[in-house]
Amino acid sequence: MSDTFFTAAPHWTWWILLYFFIGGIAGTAFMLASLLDWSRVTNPPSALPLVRYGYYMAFIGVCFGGLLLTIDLTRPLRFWHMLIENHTGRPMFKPWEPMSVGSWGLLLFGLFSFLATLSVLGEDLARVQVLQSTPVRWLRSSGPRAVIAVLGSISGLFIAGYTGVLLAVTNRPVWADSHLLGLLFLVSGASTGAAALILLAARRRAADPATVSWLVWFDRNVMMLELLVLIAFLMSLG
Amino acid sequence: MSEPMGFYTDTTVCIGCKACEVACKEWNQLPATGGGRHEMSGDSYDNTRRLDGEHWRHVKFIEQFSEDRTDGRWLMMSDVCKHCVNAPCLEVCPTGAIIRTEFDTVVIQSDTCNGCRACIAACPFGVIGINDVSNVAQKCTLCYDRLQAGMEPACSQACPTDSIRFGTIRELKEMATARVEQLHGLGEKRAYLYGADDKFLGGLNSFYLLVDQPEVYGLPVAPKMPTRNLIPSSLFSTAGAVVLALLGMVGLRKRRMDEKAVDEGDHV
Repeated sequence: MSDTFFTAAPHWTWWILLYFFIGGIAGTAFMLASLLDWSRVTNPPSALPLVRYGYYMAFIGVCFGGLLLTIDLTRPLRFWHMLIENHTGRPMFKPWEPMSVGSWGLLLFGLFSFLATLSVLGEDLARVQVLQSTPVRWLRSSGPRAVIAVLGSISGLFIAGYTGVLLAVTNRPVWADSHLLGLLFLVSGASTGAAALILLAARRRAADPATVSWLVWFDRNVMMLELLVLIAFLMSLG
Repeated sequence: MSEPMGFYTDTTVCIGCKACEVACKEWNQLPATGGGRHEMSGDSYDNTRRLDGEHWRHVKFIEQFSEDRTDGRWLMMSDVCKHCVNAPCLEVCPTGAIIRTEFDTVVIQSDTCNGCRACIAACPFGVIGINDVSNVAQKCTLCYDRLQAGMEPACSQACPTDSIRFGTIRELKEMATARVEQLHGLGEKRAYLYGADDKFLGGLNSFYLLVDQPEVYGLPVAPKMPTRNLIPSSLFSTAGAVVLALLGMVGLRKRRMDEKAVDEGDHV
């Protein structure tokens, strides 16, 4: 028998739904961009156009996502209460609550996608002096570049997947009746993220056919996986 | 810390007068819904319909009639926050706005809540709602202000039939157990206590005497803590993240192999 019983509808609506969609694209686009960046064995100072667009997409997505979450609060100016306890000024963190972990995750992913964007933006905006400065160039050297790629990808995948876990850690029917919602959100985010990159590559002629075919291959496999997870999810509801 | 305090609600003596609703609204200065626009349910004497940010007490009217309406009964139940010993809302609140008081009750601090509504999705009883005037999540405080002044909550004081009893949990449980025995002796064998023991959520500090299944009153049979799903859900998602990263890498490797094969083909 199900543990849940319908008593009242949840109050999360369109802003949150849009955030789920954008968070999934931003998080997985970062991972795909950083994989592509590292697929070239040497340490290239320049990034492929699609790598840059992937990072931009992640950064714009995380900013827009944060904005959506903030305006969705019924008291938006208190958004910082998620991170800092308003009575004591101490950090606010509940490791067992996805929304609390997600607030910090969003901050971290925002940081890494910002650094990644900053490190490659000079190639698109050659005339901006700051982007050619030594500290910014240093971000593209192998050490910082590796840290940004790995931690950014981890936090990106976290952002794409925690939202489903957040819905499971409630007491609403369907959401709390399955353990597969987070996985489903993650996989569907990955296929949408890959699709967004393919779309961008086609529009901007930003990638060689081999890269596009890699994304198409990835997207096809992920969609197969998504279908399996969706069936498993429906079956897990009983 | 004082002794745990709470409510025991004997639904068999509730007459549906809604004095508790009025007393609660008066004392807590709760606004009318929709700026006072009157809204009738149209199919019931119950025009409050639900607990939310403006209604911290709600007398449920469960109207059970036979098909031809020659026979029927009302089950009346004054619903309120259950002040769970293990409270789902308190567990998930990401701002720390929801606290446990020295009376073992659960209170939302209005100056901390930012209206994320995690508690609304977590409450298995559908108790919490956003108050349209304060714009934060609100619910019954078990009259925290009155308790601190040594007074009884407004609703139980106003209840004319003593359907709502206030006191220490220990006293209330004794009172409720005796009442169940009395009802059984009188032939009302269906009477039982809901939430008085620690079978779910560690027990409810606002528990009930009911005479039908919990679902009939709109109550969950076995509510659980939201975090029961945390570990398995996170593990599935983490495994999925690893699979996605590996899939990306395998794809890139495949692409390199293909390129190599093409290159070698060119040389021949």
